[in-house]
Amino acid sequence: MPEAVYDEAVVKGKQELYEDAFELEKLLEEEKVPIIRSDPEPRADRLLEGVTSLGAGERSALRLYFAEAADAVSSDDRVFLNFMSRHSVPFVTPVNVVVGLSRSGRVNSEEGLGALERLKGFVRADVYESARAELEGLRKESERDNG
Amino acid sequence: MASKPYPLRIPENLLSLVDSKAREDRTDRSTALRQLLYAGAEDYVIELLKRERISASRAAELLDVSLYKVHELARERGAEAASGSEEHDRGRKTVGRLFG
Repeated sequence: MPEAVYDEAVVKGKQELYEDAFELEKLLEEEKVPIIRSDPEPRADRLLEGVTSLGAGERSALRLYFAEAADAVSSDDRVFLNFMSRHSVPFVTPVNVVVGLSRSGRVNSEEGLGALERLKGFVRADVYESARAELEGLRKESERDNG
Repeated sequence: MASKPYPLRIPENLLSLVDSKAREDRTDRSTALRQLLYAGAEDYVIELLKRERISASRAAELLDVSLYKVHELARERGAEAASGSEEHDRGRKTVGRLFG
């Protein structure tokens, strides 16, 4: 996780006493997720030149994507996603990840549905319904296969 | 966040409103004025978010608040920063490639 994203999501959130910020901090510690400071990166900085619509977290995520030759950037912010789309930077959304993990069998569909439920208040209704239908479909397939 | 002094002529009717707010909140004129300014700034920034001119992260920077606060403000004003079905479909292709 880029350091600027950590600052936004944990440090600032804790200062304002949002419970999610404390939970996220604990989860990141438990999973030993490295918090990485992103230095200036020429390819990212070229794309970001003159851009005033994105915040520090998004800028650092983009720098890290190029610096680490990552597979994709994870975000759910529409403005950032459209920016990445315009510049052919691959991305995934949290809902994509939940459905993808279930579809590939890395988690079962029940776990997928549980994870989706926790995202419910944070995603658009049509995206939630579409993902839910997909996961329900996977669950039915699994029940058929298991007899 | 650092602050700077700024000289400003304020219409008398607005000053009366500020004083009324100050009395109600049991605070001073400057504090009431700053509170009204912040409220206006919040409205403006969330409007920019609604029009997809800025991201939630940028909104948080501009208002010097957390992302959680921005999402809360956005919800109160019927704005959404989250991805829609178009972005979801594009992300799905990437996930398919990554997860198999």
